Formats: sequence, C-alpha cells, structure tokens
Amino acid sequence: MAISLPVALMALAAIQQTDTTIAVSPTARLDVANQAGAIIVRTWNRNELRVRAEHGSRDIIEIESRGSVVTLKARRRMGMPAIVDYELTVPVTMSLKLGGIHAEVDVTGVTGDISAESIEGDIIVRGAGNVNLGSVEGDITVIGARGQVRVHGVDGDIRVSDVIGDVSAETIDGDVTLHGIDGANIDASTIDGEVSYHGTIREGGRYRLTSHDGDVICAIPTNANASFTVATFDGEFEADPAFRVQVTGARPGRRFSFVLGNGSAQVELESFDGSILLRRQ
Amino acid sequence: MSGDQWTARLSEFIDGELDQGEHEALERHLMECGDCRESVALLRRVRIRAGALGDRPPQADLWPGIAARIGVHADAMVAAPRSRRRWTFTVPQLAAAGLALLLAGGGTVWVGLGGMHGSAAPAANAPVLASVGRPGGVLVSGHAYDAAIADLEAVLARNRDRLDSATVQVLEESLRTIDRAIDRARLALEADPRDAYLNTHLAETMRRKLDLLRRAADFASVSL
Repeated sequence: MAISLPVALMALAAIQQTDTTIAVSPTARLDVANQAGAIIVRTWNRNELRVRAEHGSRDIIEIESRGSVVTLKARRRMGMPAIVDYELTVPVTMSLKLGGIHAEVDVTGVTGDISAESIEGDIIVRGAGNVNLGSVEGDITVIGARGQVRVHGVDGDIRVSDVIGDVSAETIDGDVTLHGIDGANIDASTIDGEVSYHGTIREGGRYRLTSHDGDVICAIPTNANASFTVATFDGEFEADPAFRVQVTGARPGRRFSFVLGNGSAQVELESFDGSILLRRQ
Repeated sequence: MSGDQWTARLSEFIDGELDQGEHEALERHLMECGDCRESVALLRRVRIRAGALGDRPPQADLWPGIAARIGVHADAMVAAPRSRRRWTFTVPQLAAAGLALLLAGGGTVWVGLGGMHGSAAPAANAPVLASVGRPGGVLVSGHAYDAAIADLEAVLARNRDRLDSATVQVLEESLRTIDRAIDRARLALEADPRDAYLNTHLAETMRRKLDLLRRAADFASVSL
C-alpha cells in the first residue's frame, strides 16, 4: 500500500520520544502502569533510572518519586494515553511492579523482586529474586530466578527454567513447563495442557503436578527419595524401568502409590484424562 | 484410632454407616476432641441446609445484551452454554469436595480439621475431607459456591463492556474449558462418589473457576 510523503511525515511527527535519567535508590521499587505498549527493562551499575519512551505527541510521561517508590506513567490532557513503548534502564537491585492492559513485558538482569500483570501480552523475565507474574492472554517465561516464583495465566503457556526456589505455576489453557528447577515446594497445574517437570527432588520437599486434559511428565534423578501418589481417571501411567516402580494402594489403575528410596519427599502426579510419565533425567 | 484417622470417618458417622464398635469408639473420641466435635456440628448443618435447599432459578440471562454491546455474536455463547444447574451433593461429596465458601466480600471460611493434610491417603471406603493445598483446612460449600459463582458472573457481566472483545472471548473460552472439566469430573463422581481423587479433583477445578471469575471481575472493574 503506497503512503504519500505528507501522510508519512505527519505520522512521524505524531510520535514523540522522551529520554530522561534521574537518580534513584538502588533498593527502590519502580512502579510502571502502561495502558498499552511494551515495557522493556534492562540494568546498569548506576543508581539512576533512565526512561526512554516512544509515545504520542499529546502524551506526557510523568515520573514521581515518593519515599522508596518511583512511579512512572503516561497521561494525556484529554482521554487516555495511546500506546507508549518504554525502554527502561534501572539499577540491578531495583524491584519492579509492572502492569498494563495490552502490555508486553520484557525484563532482563534485575536481581530484585518483580511483579508484573498484563491482560494481553507476553511476559518474559530473565533473572530476578522473587517473581509474581500474571497474564490473561499471553505466554509467561521465567529464566534464572533466585527466589519464590509464582505465575498464573489463563490462556497461554508457562515456561520456568533454571530456577532455585519454590515454584507455583498454573494456567487454564496452556502447557506448564518447568525445567532445571531446584526447589522444595513445586506446584504446577493446568486444565487443558501438558505439565512437565525436570528438576531435583529435595529431601522432605512437596511436588504436585496436575492436569485435567493433558499429560503429566516428571523427570527426576533415579536416586530420588520420594513417596509418589499417582491418580488418573482415564489415563495411563508409565515409569522408566530404571525406577523399578512397585505399585501399591487400594485401587491400582486409578489412584495408587509407590516409594522410591527412603520416601522422604511427597510427589503427587495427577491427570484426569492424560498419561502420567515418570522419566529419569 | 487417632484423631487424624477419625477425621476421615466423620461423614460416615453422621450418615450412620459405621459399625457399632466404630460408632461407639468415635462417640468416645468426640467427648475428648473439640476439633472433631466442631467438624461434626458443621457437617450436620451442611447436611440440613443441603436437604432444605430448593432450586434457585438463575438470574435473567444477560448474555444477549452483553454480546450485542461488545460485538460478539450471541451464537458464540449458545454453542457451549454454561451450566447453571443446581448441584446436589451428598454430605460425603460436600465434605470431600473441599469447595470454596466465598463470601460476597471476598472472605474465605475455613474449617480446621486437625491433622488432615492434602496428601494424606484416605482410609479405605471413607470419604476424604480434602484440603485443597492447605494443610489442616477444608473449604466447604455447595449452595454458597453456586451463589458466589453467580455473584461474580453478575459483576463481570455488569463491567464486561470495559474489557475489549478479544479479552472477553479469551475469558469466556477459558470458562468453558473449566466448565467442561467440572462436568466430566462430576459425571465420573456420579459413578463413584467416594473416590478420593475425583472428589479432590472436582474441588480443585471448581476453585479454579472461582479464581478465574474473581480475576476477571477485578480486571473488568479496573479497566478503562
């Protein structure tokens, strides 16, 4: 489609860029509320916040600092701000609270706590301490967090990898994939999708992987010490021969149990209508 | 038998299904255990309320008007109608399902059952008082659950035009996914009402529906 030069120039003029840097405490929390647009966060070794934003000419970017909280938002004299795309550079240890309606969130390198909520948009977090993420329509990815990870989706996949800490991840329409996890309390569930776990089984830990209409795959070391409870209504169970599973329980075939090693950890594998697979790493 | 083990037999006690020896032993236990006495009292109240409930007709169907406002074809709703049926649970199902009693203000009522943990294996032939991920507690509902669902659906319907149509469709599709799962679990339970896994699974799936509706209502109320 051909666009005339005057129209193209007018479109460019309607887009404005803001670029400003302010001093902040490295332990402060940055709150960003973005109606629509991207929120990209990177880090540097300065006690400063750099805000680069691309927005409409009638939108004003406001930064407010109160105590330990720095708030960033856009406003327009009349009506709601249109799309604002943020590129933020923050101190490594800063905590983040990010939210939006149609917001894509992409955070890399922060070691503070991160919470992010979007109605429509993918969320990607690389690094971080404690993480609390939610999206209605979008995939959520967490890589390399060191702390408690809580992720809740509705329509989208959840992928959590290389995490040291407890993980709670649930979605309704989508897969939940946990890989390279080292935690003592793991809870992963979906209604319509697959749940897979690849990670450690700590002594005394609790692990719960459930799906209604999808497979549950658990890949653990062969020397794991755990008491397993497996439950399914209309699915199958299969274990790698290396585990030498001997099934016990009152109702084999629907709900049964077995023990590996000293049975220290508790592992619950449930799928109403999918296969339950126990694999060795 | 320890208090923990009696907890899983309280529904049978109320239904008169214990043999004479067990019945007398549990009666002696109740004289000493306040937690179990409270649980028995609660289960008896639930049973009385469940038996006295009549069908509460659904509120007016809001969907056609909402669909028209948001530009979603009304047939899209008809294709997979949500169930507004009244569910009648037996006392074992009520106790074992572990459903959320969600008050209008968002509160949650717990019945503490000492010693019962979500991963505890049920005694043979006993209904399971399931704690849904919360050791020592049971979420109890039935009529209250239906009322909570209806209230949240009404809130969402009132504020639905504050969400864009794509989000509404996503939420609706996910609610249909959960409703299908609930219906399948319920059908399976009709054939085997004492199955511990099925009861827990149904309870958890119903909790997921409550959570989704609550989140959706929150989104709708803050969206501009």
